[in-house]
Amino acid sequence: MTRSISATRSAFAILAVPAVVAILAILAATTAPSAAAHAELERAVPAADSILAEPPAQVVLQFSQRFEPAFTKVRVVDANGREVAGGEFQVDDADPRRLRVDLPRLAPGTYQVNWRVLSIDTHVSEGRFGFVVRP
Amino acid sequence: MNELLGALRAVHIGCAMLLFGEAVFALAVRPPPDQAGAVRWRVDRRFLAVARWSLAALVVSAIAWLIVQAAAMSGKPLAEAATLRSIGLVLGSTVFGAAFSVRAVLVVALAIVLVAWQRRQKSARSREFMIIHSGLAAALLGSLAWTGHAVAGDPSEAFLRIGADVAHLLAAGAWIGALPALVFHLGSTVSPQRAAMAGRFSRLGVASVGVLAASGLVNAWYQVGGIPGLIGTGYGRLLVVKLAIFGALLCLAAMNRGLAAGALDSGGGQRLHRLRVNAIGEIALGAALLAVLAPLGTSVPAIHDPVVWPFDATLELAPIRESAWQQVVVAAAAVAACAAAAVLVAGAIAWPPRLSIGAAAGVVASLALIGIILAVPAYPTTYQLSPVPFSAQAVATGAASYDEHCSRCHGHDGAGASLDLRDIVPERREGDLFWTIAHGLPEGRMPAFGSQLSAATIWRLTQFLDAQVAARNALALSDRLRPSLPVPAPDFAYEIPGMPQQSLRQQEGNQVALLVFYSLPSSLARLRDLAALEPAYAKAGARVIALPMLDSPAASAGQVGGAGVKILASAGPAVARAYRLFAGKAASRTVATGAVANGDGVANGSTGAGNPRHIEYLVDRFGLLRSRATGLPGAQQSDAMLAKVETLARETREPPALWAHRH
Repeated sequence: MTRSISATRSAFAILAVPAVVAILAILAATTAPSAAAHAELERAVPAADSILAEPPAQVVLQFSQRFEPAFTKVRVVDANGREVAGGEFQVDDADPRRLRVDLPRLAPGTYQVNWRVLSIDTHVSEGRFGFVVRP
Repeated sequence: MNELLGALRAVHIGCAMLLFGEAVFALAVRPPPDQAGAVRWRVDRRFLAVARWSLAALVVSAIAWLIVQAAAMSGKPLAEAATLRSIGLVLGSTVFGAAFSVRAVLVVALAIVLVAWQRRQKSARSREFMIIHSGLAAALLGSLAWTGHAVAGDPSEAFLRIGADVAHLLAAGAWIGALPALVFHLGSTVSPQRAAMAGRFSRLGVASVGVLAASGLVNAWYQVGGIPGLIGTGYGRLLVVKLAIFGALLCLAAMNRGLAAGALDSGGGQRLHRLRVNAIGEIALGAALLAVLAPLGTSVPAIHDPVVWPFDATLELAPIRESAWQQVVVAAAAVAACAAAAVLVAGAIAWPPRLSIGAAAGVVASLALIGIILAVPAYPTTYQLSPVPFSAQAVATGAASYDEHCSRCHGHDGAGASLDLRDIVPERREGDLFWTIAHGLPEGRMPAFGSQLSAATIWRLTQFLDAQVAARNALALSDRLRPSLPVPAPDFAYEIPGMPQQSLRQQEGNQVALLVFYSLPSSLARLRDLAALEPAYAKAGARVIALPMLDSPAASAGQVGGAGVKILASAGPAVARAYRLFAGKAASRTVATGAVANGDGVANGSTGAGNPRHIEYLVDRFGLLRSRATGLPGAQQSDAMLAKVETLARETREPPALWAHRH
């Protein structure tokens, strides 16, 4: 009888540890940082909705995760929907989460950047933003 | 498509775990540790048969997974994606494909080993085969880490996250994958060998659980981030289900531990039988775990998903920050809850029932006390962060919206409607502010604006409210560095001719910035000085950004000379408008009035309260405004400015945060 008591007691004692850890974790986590609601694109140069005096030489997109270049597309189109750049982009050497699209000399007008990115953990995300080049 | 991917992953992972688990069982659990020689390494036909079938199922599921994954990656339907070209692209150019290729090599090697082993069963080479087989099975299981979420994050965290993933997979495989072997080898007749085997397996289980818990915590930290993510996102709730199944597995395993300890007693046959039944239950739970695991792998991690909080209240430590006695009570209640929980589980059977009931009541009472003290109202958007960043554009647009919709009741600076918004806003999360603006307050205290204003507009209002609080704090800014009143500087993009667009909060190498708002012609001399001093500022690690005030023409490089080209910037009108908030007592009244919103009939400083014509702000490396100098500086002040820049550039730690919840 005593041996079965000690056996079961030791069995339940094992459960005490996770229970304690769980309570402590819940208390500790009440002020944990909230889950970010930001989109995958962390920043863009030129910034979204910028009005620029000079046409930009390139578009730089910084993402929050590494992406697969083979399945990533970036297109820059003008106000008529014609593509001005987007055949190719370069991945930044220093940061594999950043890419650069070189632009030809852009005429004044409104432009839109459309991007579709496959992150390395196989999730697709896409988005778009615009910028304006002043005459 | 995602469901199919998930199912294929589940089958694949299950096979890999079985392959590895039976090897671990054969190596560590089945043979007695003191018996030496070839007996230890010989395996029976059943072992090889299970290995063959697992490997076959693994291969089939892997090929199907590859095809479905190619379709998901390219966005094409399944039929189109199942071409050699598309699959070749996946294999050759993606991390997933590279991992797949490596694993294909491992599979081929394993198949060769199995075939050769089958042929040579009688010979004494079993030891080598066993070692190679176990190594390959471990590699097949562990390499699955490169197909999960751990591989996609910040490269500097990759080692830790992938390592945790590999450990998690191997520990799960060693424990759950070995269960079928355990069930098979435990008969209903007691023998010392079987009892010893049960005991060894139980120790393996304990080690495995430890590794699973530790590695699981690491991964959860990076992928969930906290309790809000756990409760408020689909990924988080799936994880809770996984943890519940894991908890049930733990209970069964704990029971087995106790049963194994007493297996050699009289009535031991019953115990072993019970143990066996439990192990079958554990296998079922393991299968359920795999079923949950599958959608987890294909979902967006909670940390990238907006949190929708499901309850009316939540626990917050921030409100009791000031109150020492409440902190003591909460801490004491937490300790009491832990102690009562320990008493409860440790003495559940053996000690008098009254003690257990008392302990249970103690746990409930302590948690209730903590809940009462820490509970605050919460809404679905409470834990969401603003998708609109704290930028000059947002603040200026928010100011215009505020004038139009809010100033009637709340006044032009927030001090209306019998409360001062600037006292309330720092105590609330952005998501709470969003909800209150969108849904109003009950009993008609505040109308709901959700139907009139878009979500983006409401978020901009929250940024403007943050800026109003910052503006009030900015009243205390002076031309001396203040360490204790951080005022966040709204971000903005600016252009300097000949250089790509930059922003105040650059991503890398955060530099100190001297932000100069000037008016021509009075500021010209100072601009010339700054142009001449620019190399000194650059050497001190700072940028000089000179922007014209709203009613001033922009200076040209020719007027300024020197390194004028490097400091004269242009930015949208929102920047000057937003930064006027921080201009101090004289100017703060002009903010958030119609004058600001409508393109600035604000006077040239020739009327009354004296709008400053020249202001220089110092922004530190953490994006905080640390000093404000109004008016044109003399020589002494100019030198002092450079010294201040040098002090700021040397700072390594962010000053203590004003607000707990954001930025």
